[in-house]
Amino acid sequence: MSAPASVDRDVVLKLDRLRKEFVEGRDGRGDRRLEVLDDLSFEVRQGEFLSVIGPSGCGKTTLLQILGGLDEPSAGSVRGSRESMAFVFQRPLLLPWRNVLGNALFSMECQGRCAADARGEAEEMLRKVGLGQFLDYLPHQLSEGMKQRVNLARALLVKPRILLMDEPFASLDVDTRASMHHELLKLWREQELTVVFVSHNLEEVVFLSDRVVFLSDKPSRIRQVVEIDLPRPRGVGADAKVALVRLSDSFVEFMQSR
Amino acid sequence: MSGSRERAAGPGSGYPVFFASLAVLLASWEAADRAGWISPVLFSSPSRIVSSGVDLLGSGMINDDLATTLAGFSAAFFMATFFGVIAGIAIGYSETLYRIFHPYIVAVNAVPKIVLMPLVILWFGLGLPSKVFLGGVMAGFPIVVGTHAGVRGLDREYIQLARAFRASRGRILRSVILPSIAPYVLSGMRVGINYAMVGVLIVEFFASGKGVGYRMVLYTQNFQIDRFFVLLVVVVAFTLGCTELVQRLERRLGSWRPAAL
Repeated sequence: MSAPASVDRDVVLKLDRLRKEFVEGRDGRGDRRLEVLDDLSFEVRQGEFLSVIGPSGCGKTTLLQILGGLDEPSAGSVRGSRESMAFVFQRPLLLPWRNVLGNALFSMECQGRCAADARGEAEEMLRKVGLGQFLDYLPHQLSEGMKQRVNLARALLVKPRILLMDEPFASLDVDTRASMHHELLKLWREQELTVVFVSHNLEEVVFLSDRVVFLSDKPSRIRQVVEIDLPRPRGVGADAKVALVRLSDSFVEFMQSR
Repeated sequence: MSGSRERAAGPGSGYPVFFASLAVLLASWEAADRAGWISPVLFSSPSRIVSSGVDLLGSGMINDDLATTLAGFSAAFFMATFFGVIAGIAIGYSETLYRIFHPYIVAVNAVPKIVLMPLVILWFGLGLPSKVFLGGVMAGFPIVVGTHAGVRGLDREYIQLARAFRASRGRILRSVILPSIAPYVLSGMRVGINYAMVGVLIVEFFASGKGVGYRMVLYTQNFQIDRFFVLLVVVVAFTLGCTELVQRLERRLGSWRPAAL
C-alpha cells in the first residue's frame, strides 16, 4: 500500500501506526469515545507534493494538526523535524488590526525575529504573491483570494521546509483558486518545499500532487496511496487536459466505491 | 473636540441644537437669579460661579486640595486598571477561575460601595489608602467586566495560529491578546473613570482634612455655595476630559472593529 521503504534521508516525516481518539464530555466522565484516526502509517518524502483526501469530517484536519505538533496522537508516532514546518489554515486568520505587511510579519515575530529586520523580506514575499501594491491594506479591505495570499506569504516567511496546508483554497471562487494553484506550484518549486495538502477537491488534488493518500470515513484508515505521474506543468494542451479529467474521474469513482 | 462630538452625536448637526439649549438654560437660570427667585444662600448663578471661580482658582488657595484629589484619583484609577485587567484576563482564560470568582464579582458589584465607608475608614484610616481602596474597588468592576468580555470575544484560532508559529506565551500576550482586547479594556476604563472619582470624593466628604471633596462639604457648611459649584464644575470638566481622552484612544485602537464585523 504505502511506498516501499525508500532511502531514509529522503523521508522528512514518518507516521507510524498513528491513532487518535477524542474523549467527549469535559467533566472527565469520558464515556463517549470518538475514534478519528486509526492505524495510519505513511511517509512524506523530501520535496514532494503530497495530498491527503477523504470524505469531509474524516479527520484530515486532525491529522494535519498532529503532524504540525498542535495536537498529540493517542498512539503511534510522528517522526520528523517540527521546527521546519509552517501551517496554512483554511481560514486566513489575519489579525484584523494589522495591515497586510503587519500580518505577513506576524509569523516571523512569533519566532522572535525583530520586525524591523524582517520587513524587507516580508515586502519581497508579498510582492511575489502579487500583493506589492497592498501592503498597508487592512484585512477587511481584501478579497478572500488576497487574504489567502497573505496567509500563504506569512507561512512561507518562516522559511519552512514543510508546508502543511488545510484546505487553503476551499472558500475561493474557481478563477481565484486556479491562479492560487499556479502560484503555489511556483513557490513550491522555487523554495524547494515539501507540501502536505489536505483537501476534498479531487480535481485540485490531481492537478497539484505527486502522491495522494486516500482516507476512509471515520475512523480514518488509509484506503490507498496513489502516485500521480502526469508530467508537469499539468493541464497544458488538450491531451494533458483529458488526462487530468480522466484521472480525477477515476478518483471520483474510487471515492464513491465503498 | 468638535470632531468627536459630532461622531458621538451621530451624523452631523446635533451640536448646534445642544449649544442653543445650553445657552437658553444658562440665560434663564441667570435671569431667575437676577429676578430674586433663587436664594443666594442655597443656590448660585452662572455669573457668580464664574467670578467665584476666577477668584478661587486664580488665588491658588485650593491648589493643595486639587493636587490631593488628583493624586487619590490617579492612584485609585491606576490600581483599578492594573488589577482589573489582570483579573479580567485570568477569569477570561481559566474556566475554573471564572466559576470560582464570577459569583463573588457579581455579588460584590451589587453592593452599593458607599455603605462600605465606615469599614474602609476603620481599615485604612483618613488618608490616601482609603481613597485608593474605595475608588479602586468601584472603578475596578467595569474594568474587570470589560476585559473579561474582550478575552471571551477573542477568536481562539488566532492563538492557535500563533502557537503553530511557535510563539512564546509572552509573544501571544503582546501580539494577539493585548491588541485584540485593548478596545474592550478601554471601554471598561472609560466607565471606571467616573467611579474612581466618586469613590475618592466620598472618602474626602467624610474622612479627610484636605481635597476637593473636603472643600465641597466645608463650603456647603459655610454657605459658600458659589465655591461649591466651582468645584463641581472642575470635577465634571476633569472627568469629562479624561473620558474623552480614553474614548479617543478606544476609537483609534479599535478602528478595525466596526468595519471588520
